[in-house]
Amino acid sequence: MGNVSTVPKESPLRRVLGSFLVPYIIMLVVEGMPLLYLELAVGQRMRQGSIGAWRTVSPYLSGVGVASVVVSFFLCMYYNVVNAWAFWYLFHSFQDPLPWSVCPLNGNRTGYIEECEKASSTQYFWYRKTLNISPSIQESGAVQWEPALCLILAWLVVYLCILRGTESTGRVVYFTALLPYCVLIIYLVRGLTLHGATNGLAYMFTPKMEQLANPKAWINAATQIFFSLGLGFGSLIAFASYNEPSNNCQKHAIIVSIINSSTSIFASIVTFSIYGFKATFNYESCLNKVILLLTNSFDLEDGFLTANNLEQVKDYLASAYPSKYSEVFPQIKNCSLETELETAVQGTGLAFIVYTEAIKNMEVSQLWSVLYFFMLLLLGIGSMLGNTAAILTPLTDSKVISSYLPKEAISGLVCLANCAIGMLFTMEAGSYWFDIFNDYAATLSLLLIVLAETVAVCYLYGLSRFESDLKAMTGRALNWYWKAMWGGVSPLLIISLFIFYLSDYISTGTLRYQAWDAAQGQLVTKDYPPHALAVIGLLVAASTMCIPLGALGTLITRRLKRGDTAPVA
Amino acid sequence: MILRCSLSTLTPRTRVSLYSVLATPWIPRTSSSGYTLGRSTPPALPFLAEPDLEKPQRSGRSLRISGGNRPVFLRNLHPAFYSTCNNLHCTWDSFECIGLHGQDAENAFKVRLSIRTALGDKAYAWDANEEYLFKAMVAFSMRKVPNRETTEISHVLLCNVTQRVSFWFVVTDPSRNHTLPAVEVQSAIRMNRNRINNAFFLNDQTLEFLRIPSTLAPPTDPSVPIWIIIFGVIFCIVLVATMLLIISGIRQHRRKNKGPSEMEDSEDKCENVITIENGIPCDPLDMKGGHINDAFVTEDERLTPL
Repeated sequence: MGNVSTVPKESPLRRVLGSFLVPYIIMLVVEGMPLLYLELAVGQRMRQGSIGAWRTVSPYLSGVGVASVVVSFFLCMYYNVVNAWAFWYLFHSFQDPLPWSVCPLNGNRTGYIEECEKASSTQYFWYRKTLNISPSIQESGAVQWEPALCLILAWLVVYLCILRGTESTGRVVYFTALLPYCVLIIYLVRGLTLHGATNGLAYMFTPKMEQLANPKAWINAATQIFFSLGLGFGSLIAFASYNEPSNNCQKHAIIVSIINSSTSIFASIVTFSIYGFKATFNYESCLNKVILLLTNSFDLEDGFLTANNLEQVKDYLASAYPSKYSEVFPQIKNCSLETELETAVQGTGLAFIVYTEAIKNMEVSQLWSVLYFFMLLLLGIGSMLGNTAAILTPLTDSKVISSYLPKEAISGLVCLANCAIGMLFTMEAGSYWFDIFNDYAATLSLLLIVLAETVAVCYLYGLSRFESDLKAMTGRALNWYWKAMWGGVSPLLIISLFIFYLSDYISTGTLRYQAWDAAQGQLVTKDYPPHALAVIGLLVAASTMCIPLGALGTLITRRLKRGDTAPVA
Repeated sequence: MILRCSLSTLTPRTRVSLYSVLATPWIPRTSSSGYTLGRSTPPALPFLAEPDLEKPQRSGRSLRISGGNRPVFLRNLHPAFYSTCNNLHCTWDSFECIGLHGQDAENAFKVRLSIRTALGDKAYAWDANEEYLFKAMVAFSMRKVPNRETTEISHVLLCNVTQRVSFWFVVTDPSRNHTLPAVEVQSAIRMNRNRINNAFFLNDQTLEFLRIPSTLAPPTDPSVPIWIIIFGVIFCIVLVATMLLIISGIRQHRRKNKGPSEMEDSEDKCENVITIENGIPCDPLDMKGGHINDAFVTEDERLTPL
């Protein structure tokens, strides 16, 4: 169980609000479990990393393994930057007050810095102090030394864990997989006792029937399952190849997916209680601002206006002093708890902002901040271990490389190369490039890879042949459910997901991104410049083209060999 | 709403005319909020009948400005306006001060207190004594300015006190003809802001002087940022652990490499032992290398035995 439990877990950063429970559970049963079982079985049977395993299944499929490695390589490149940011926040959590809870003062100390006033202090700390973000992706700026240092540290920690190979990684993963549970439990207790947490929980559990009809909810649930289980990266195959052949991977697949999903649901309870707290806090401060504005404009008695009588007093003032009220009216914001709860959470940057904003309002915020970022680091490092294992196992499997260099040197070189490339993400425009990688490096390619895997095992290798292999290996017969899923339902599901994503990309026209405007203190939408679009195309093509190119390559070599052997025969 | 104006700014001439009109009594009335309201009916002066907050009104020799945008002060008044004043207070429901515009109005500042927000249950009521304390604090602040050491409490005028508890104040010079320039008052208040806040148990946010920005507390920046210290500690720990692992890995490698060669050495030793221990001394050919020329075969050996 130790090696298999190293499912690279996506931390509760990609949460989808709304009634995702129903599509989530259905997608888990229909798509998650069968595909997980398939990958584990393939790894355990072939006893090689992803490249070797797929080459054994069928020589035309060596491209699938290479595509997995390429996707894992992209993921390694950019994912450790999240850990670097988590380290940055962790180191800054040991101050009183927390640096993102107060705005820094301006030059003559009469007020706060303008950018911080317009945005909030947490946004200012994220966009200005952490990222030092530039206004657009074209202006790259220089490498920021603070995030660069944190990135070097993050890669050092990863190197320390993978230094001795996957056997030692297994021991580390016990730590990185179990400790977040402790922190989650602590946060659960704290989160449920926060003021306003019930609002968030009520929002999470009220099913919104109209959202179920929206295909977006199902698509998001399917993508979430995909990424949280880590399908298609090759890390599962790599880890399963170290298992005993008689290992009961079916039981493990079911257990792992159930544990993974219940962890996700558990984490989302914590998340939603914290969202509820944050939303309630923001709602109440919005109300207080309106109350203060009205009290000051009309010189009402201090304490007279409360949240309960606000509407009545507003109506009275509108009727009694119409001209003055109309002057003040544009500044009065409409505060609503619903809009606060519905602020969608997407992207790692927004998650950093949302959680830190909630934490800064808790008592003893340093403790909660340290705990939270420690948990985030554990989850992130755990994911990184899976990704690097996916790259390293094929490298160490190949006789060519491992004969020249020892294991430690190969790991060191991989870490060094990724660290050097990762410096790109610490530049001023680095966050925009990070978003590009985050959105496009993995999504389409993974769908295609998993589709190719399922089709290959079922139809190229032969479902009956695989079934007999498994029976010989584990001693158990294959349930009809798995056969039905592998053969029919899962490939269809993946094809429909794929078509949906493609049509989504095509229908939106040019791709857009959110850029931070320092003057306004908010995000603005801009179009990607041509070179960024080229990079996106390259990312998607680099991994997806491996599959047909691999098949083509094998075809050509076979033809050449047949040509060579023909005259002899 | 209670209006309190200090009458000490009056010149002796107007004061005389004031006392001559002080005949009409006024009846205090308590409002629901606990403040004492005073509403008096002046002798049939139509333009004093109803305070209209919306429209500016012209009355007598001065302009009454509404809405509290700019304060106005008692100066050169129509005597009738004083009909409701006694020795110390003018009380008039929603009455604004009437007076000068221009420079004097520029030198006045609005103050806003949020006592209930700051103190909650322990909030005190804002009454004449609190105003006296406020005037004392302002006078104290002005006394710290060079050339203004002779500022008295009576030189500070408060006006237009509202339920919010907000009011305007201005500081006059000893001759009581001019108001002190805004810059002086501003710098004096800024210097002593902390003392003024503490006198009222308030802070910069709950005792606001509009147009007087407060100096915010400087950030306590340590010489070395804390995060670098923690980063250094963790970096060193990870580096040391990595070095240890690498070195132990290299040692293991060396031990593995030495292992097979050590095995060979021991085999040689065994052979030597065997040759010595064995009764039959069978020396390996190497030992005899150079001693026996194997190319030369003895006669006996060439011929095979029958």
